[in-house]
Amino acid sequence: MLKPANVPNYFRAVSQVVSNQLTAGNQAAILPSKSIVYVPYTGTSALALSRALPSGNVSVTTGPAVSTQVRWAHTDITVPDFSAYRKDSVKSPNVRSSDSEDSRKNFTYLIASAFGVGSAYSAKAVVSQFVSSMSASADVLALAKIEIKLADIPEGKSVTFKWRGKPLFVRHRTQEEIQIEQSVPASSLRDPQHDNERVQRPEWLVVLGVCTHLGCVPIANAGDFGGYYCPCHGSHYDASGRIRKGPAPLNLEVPEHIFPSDDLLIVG
Amino acid sequence: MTSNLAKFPLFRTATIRGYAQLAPLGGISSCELKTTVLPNKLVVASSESQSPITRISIVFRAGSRNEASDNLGVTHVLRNSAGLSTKNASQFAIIRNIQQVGAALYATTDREIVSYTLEGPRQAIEKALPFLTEVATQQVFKPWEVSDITNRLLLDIATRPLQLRAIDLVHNAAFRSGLGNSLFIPKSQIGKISSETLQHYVASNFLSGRASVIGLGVDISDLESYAQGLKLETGEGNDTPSPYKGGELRSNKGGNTAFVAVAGEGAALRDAKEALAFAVLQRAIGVGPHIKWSTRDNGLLSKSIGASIDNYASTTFNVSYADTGLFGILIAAPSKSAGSLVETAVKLLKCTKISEEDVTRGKNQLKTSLLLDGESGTHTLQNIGTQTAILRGASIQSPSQIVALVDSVSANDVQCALKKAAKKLTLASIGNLTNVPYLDEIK
Amino acid sequence: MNLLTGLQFSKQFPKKMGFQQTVYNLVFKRTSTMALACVASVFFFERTFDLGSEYFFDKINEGKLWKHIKDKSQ
Repeated sequence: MLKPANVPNYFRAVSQVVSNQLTAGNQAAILPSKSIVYVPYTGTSALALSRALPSGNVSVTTGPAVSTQVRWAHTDITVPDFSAYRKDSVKSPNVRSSDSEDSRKNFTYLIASAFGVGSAYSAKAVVSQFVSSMSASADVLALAKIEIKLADIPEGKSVTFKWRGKPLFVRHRTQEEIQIEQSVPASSLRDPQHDNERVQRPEWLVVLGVCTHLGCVPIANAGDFGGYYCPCHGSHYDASGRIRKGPAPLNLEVPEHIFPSDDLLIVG
Repeated sequence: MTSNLAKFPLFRTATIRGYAQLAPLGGISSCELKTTVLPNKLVVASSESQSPITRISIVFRAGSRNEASDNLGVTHVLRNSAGLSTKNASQFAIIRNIQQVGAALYATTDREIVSYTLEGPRQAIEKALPFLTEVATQQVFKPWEVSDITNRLLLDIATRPLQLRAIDLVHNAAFRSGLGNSLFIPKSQIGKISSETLQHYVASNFLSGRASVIGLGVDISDLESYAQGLKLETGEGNDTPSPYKGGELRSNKGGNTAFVAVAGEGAALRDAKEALAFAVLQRAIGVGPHIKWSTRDNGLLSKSIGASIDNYASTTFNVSYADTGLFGILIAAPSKSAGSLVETAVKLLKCTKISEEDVTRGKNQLKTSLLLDGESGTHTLQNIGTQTAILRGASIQSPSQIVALVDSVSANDVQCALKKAAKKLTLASIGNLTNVPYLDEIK
Repeated sequence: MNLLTGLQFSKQFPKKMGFQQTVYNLVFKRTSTMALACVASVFFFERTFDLGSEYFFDKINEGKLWKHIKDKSQ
């Protein structure tokens, strides 16, 4: 509120050093806290000034996506120091960075290659793990071979073993049987095979006890030819395990077998 | 985000031209200007200049002369609010989408008009056009965004060049209110222009009867269909006349230079003949050197000042508004010599006999500058924009048409124009005013 | 950098091909040679790594494995 009595105080332009007992009007003034004052450029030459003088309608243009955009300058933002992350070889301003370029690159690529080597190794391990899962398991492999002591099998007898879940016939043939089988001409057979192709030692016949017809187990020392006879459909095999009569198409299979010594047979 | 913005197939019908007849970058400046007025009184004007750059402008007769004492400075805030979030597009979307296609969007204000202009390559304009619609007609003025531009207002005020302030002052002295309003917000008003004030100003001034849509490098039928889609309130709004009153304003700011504007009443834009006479007079008195490194022109003012005073700059300014105009001399000089220069200028305005030779020189210079300005799309657009917003479709002329009219100006018309200007003078000065005389001191 | 000075400098002091540069040019410069080097080193790495891990496993499990107690049980 202005009181009329105070009005003259507004026209004073002297500061009171010694109070004159008059009540001064409470003039509110805020001193500007500006520290930067912009001085408009007026040109330094008459020509520059002349070019800047408007001679027609004055308009002001501004826009959101044009060059009148103002970026407020911040002077309180310090430039971050990244030297903790920089390599020592490029910190010095007196040394050319290109001098250490190769060694820096080598290091980087070496790390990359190390990862490459590691992943190649792991990849190989993983792949071989999977591939090996396709091969036979250890318990199967453990039963894959069978050792047979030949001394236990008397002449003229056919002994049945279990090998890889299947019956295995080992027959100790007599001299007579050998002669008979040797003399059978291969051309007269359904599945032509000479006896010599089927046995390693003439006195020992090693065949799988699975009928080639439908997989029954033939009976030893039976049938028309004195070898094996399949009771299921009447296939007759001779003493060399060859099909001679009946529906089976093929001879009994001879597994891989070796005779490491005179009285030992290893099948598988 | 932009899916609900209407898209107009504006340039489907654009003619494809062969290389042999490729138009210059600025377009053909002499091409025909077509004008139509829509049922809602919106004026559409277009000139298919074949320029590869298309410019589309939405102009409203809403310049600073429409400000009242309670919303002084609203056009400055409005100008800086161009590009703030609108009904359908965010601030980010507007800037991003326009910059992405390589177009530019800006707002221009003067005492008569507020215009929003989009310019860019033809294909870019088609994509960016919905954002021009948004910025020009769908403003929402979110309060937090409006308050954010306060710093920008302060910067704008702080960086005004003194010659611009001299022009502002001479308007203020000559017209007091209305046309006397500055293009810049007064410091005391900063922070007081609220979102509501802006909305009210836009609602009362951005009306179809006060608006026009201008295109350069656009076919008129395309522009018409675009203009029909604009959602503008119909109406004419209120125009307050702002007659010339005259007076004197001084602002002593120190420094080395004084900027002094001596002015009298000029021609209204509606009076084309008188406006041309004033334009010829302006050139006859001289608008500063055209030649590089020369320090003075060949005009009457330079001649009457003579070679005795050096290191000053002067120009004659001539502005035509809807109902009146301002014509005068603007001098920038070291404070020592400012006094005598102002006296010479006043004397020149008061008692000069314009010779036939001066008129011919003035005509030639006017024609040259009209044609040179006509080659600039921005300039032409602004020129046509002002004409359409004020004259509402009646007798709108392209720069090349105006040139043809210049010859009809006689020496007598020019002399009459000078007489009108000198009838009541206005003086406004800013800078170091130690030696600048008051108006009543000048004999 | 002045191109001319750079040229003169390199003429006066021809750069010696160091170990690092040799390695870089021969191995790491091309992706193909680097991949080849990786594959080649995997053979050695696998051998060393497998033997090494085997050795450490045995050392850690000293006296617990079948091959350690095989002689005693028979």
